[in-house]
Amino acid sequence: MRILIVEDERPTAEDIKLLTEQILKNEVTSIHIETTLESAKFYLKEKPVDVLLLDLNLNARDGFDLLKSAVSGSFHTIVISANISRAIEAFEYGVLDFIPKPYNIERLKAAFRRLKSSHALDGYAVKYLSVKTGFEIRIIPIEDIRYFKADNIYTELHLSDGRVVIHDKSIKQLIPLLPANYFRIHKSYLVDTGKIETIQTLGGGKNNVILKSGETLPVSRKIIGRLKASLDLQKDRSGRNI
Amino acid sequence: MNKLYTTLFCLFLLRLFAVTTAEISAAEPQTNILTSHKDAVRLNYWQIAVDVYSKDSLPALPDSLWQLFNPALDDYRYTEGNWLIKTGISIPDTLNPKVVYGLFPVNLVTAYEIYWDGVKTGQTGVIGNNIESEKPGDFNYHLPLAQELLTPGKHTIVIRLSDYNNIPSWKWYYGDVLLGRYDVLMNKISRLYYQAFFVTGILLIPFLFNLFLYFARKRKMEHLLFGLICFVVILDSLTMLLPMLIEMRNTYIYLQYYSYNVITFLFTVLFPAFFIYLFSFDKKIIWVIAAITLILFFFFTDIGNLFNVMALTVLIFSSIITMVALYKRREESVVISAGIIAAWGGYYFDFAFAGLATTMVICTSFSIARQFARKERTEKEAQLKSARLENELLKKNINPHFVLNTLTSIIAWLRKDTPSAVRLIEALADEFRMVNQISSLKQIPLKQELELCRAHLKIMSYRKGADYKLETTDIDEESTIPPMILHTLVENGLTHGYENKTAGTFVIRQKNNPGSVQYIISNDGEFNPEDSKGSTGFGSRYIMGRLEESYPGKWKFISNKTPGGWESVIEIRRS
Repeated sequence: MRILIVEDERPTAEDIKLLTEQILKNEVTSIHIETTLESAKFYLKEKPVDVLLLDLNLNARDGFDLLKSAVSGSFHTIVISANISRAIEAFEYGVLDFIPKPYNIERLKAAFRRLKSSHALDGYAVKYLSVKTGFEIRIIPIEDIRYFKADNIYTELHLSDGRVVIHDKSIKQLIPLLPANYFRIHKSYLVDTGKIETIQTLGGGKNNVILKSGETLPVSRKIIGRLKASLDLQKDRSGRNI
Repeated sequence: MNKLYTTLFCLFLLRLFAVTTAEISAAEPQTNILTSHKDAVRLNYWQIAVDVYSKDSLPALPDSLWQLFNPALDDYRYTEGNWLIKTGISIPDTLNPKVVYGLFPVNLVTAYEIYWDGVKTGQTGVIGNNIESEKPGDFNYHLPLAQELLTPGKHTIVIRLSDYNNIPSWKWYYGDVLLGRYDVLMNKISRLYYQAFFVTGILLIPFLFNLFLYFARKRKMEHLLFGLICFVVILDSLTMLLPMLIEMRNTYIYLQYYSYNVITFLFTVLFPAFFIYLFSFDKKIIWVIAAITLILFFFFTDIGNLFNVMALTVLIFSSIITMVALYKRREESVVISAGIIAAWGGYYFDFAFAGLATTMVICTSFSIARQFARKERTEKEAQLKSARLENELLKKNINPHFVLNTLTSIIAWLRKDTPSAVRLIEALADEFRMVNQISSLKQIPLKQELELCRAHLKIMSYRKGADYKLETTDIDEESTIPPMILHTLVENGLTHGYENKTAGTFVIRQKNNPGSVQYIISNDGEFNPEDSKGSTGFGSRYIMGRLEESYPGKWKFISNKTPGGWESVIEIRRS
């Protein structure tokens, strides 16, 4: 795992590095420290990373711009900051976790565990996805996404207006950021179960889902049972609500 | 102010007296007329003869010895001596037998006897031929006349008087005699006294109030002056009221005259002076006004025109000052102008001093009350501002981010190097202790401010893993400055100039110039060109707020990027 720590106080950065190495042990393949926004941007452009540990308030400057571009990248962002007033907002933009300062080793461990989680914590899910289009960062509300389709190490976002944009994260990386109602129905497809109209059963154990927007997507054999259960649960819930 | 009305009353009569005698001196002797529908008549057309002092009854003098009285002739002749004065009164119809009439001598000195148709009907004091033998009469002497004396037809009134006890600058002939209904004239007199009491009572309150304000409010001259104006008017009333409160000989007239002179003069100077202070004009003007008033007072006034000249003087000065104030849009000039206009109205109706005093007391009370309301508001604002600055000071240093980041750093150091962590904790404790000491102060010794800067640099050195130093030159450690303004500059420099540097030097210099002191804070940081705006932002606002609080209008703050870093200059002018 390649890790970048962006923190303007070097002793603290080194401490984070030390703890990270203790937690991940030989999973760490490289770990690097940057103390300014500029050098961090530069590093990210040049070197691939898997996890960014970011302090939001670098030398009294707002790190949120860096955050917005960071979350569009192919890596996960974990914020470590004393400024917790913008934590919710950070989650909405797609940070994997937000660790308040002073941090400790358990809290850091929990954050790294979330790298493998199947969905975001309740109430801390992403609301927008940042997508790089040319030189700008586009912010897309997740309800505007009909479904996600894997595209090599990237993900295609199929939007409700019919357009398709590419996100730098893989489907696997997006899952821990998304709310629990997002379901990976197939190795290549991820949908919001709320947007499924019905399940179409084909012969030979094959199934499709038909979305409310009209698309038909394949469902993998291993998943169908859990998907049905989850849809039933939703129906139950909505029935009770009525 | 209406006490002045009394003064006016007496002197107004005098003025008419002077005018009328001048008119008739050339004409045939005329006679005074009292009809049944007249309340009172002022006796004119006097003739005079020098009296030979004797205890005998009135001598029958041949007409040739009497001459028409004209005070303009020989002043010195009437300062001391014995005289007879005579005038006629004609009653054309039958007077109402139920009404009592009386003679009211006003300001007549010193001792006199009154003869009605040759019969002695009244006397006050004892006539004499020197100071010892003469006994001054009553100040409040009135003579009711018996019904049978006032028959229709012609009558003669002779007053035999001597004047030795009075002081020479007051002449007996400044006095006057009224003949009229006893009840009506008595009413008029008591009304004047009541008014004087009323005025005294009313003005006593602003007098005491302004006196108190003067001592309570940093000796503000306008309060003292206004209090004095009230006091002078009270003195004027008391001068008039005194013979009413205690038995007085009529030699008091002289004192009264003297007192009115002084009071009139004071009044003429105090009012413009008060306006000068009220409108914050150059105080030297007061001396010019005082000098002009003195010249007018000594060279251009006499007993007859004193009040007129002085009233005009005070009105003209006050009007000019108020007009300038109005032109310059000084506070309260509108209200005071209204008062001045009213005072001119009062002057037109022969009411100048009373009118001026009345309207001025009303207008100035109003304006002082308004000033107070305004002052209270600005004071409250200033208080709020101080409270806000104090709050900002605390927030800057005990703000949660600062504390949390420092605690994070302490934990990091604990894992790596415990003694360093302890030193960091100590530096943090030092800074907090000092902040706690100074948080409510508006000025602190420079020494303390520098310690605060050092503590902060130490904390930040540990946090950033860097080495920040403070150097000082020519510092007078005992001089005082508002708290945390240098600290704020150091902190700002550190935040924006040392992202890529692990060492830094801050230099604080003090420069004493003849009229000012400068504090120059520089550092060797690397600043982005877009950071050069410098004097906006939270830190600068705090510094400027503090400087304005301590040195209103007397400070300058310049903050600029330099080739080698950043430099801020705080300049404070002395007075």
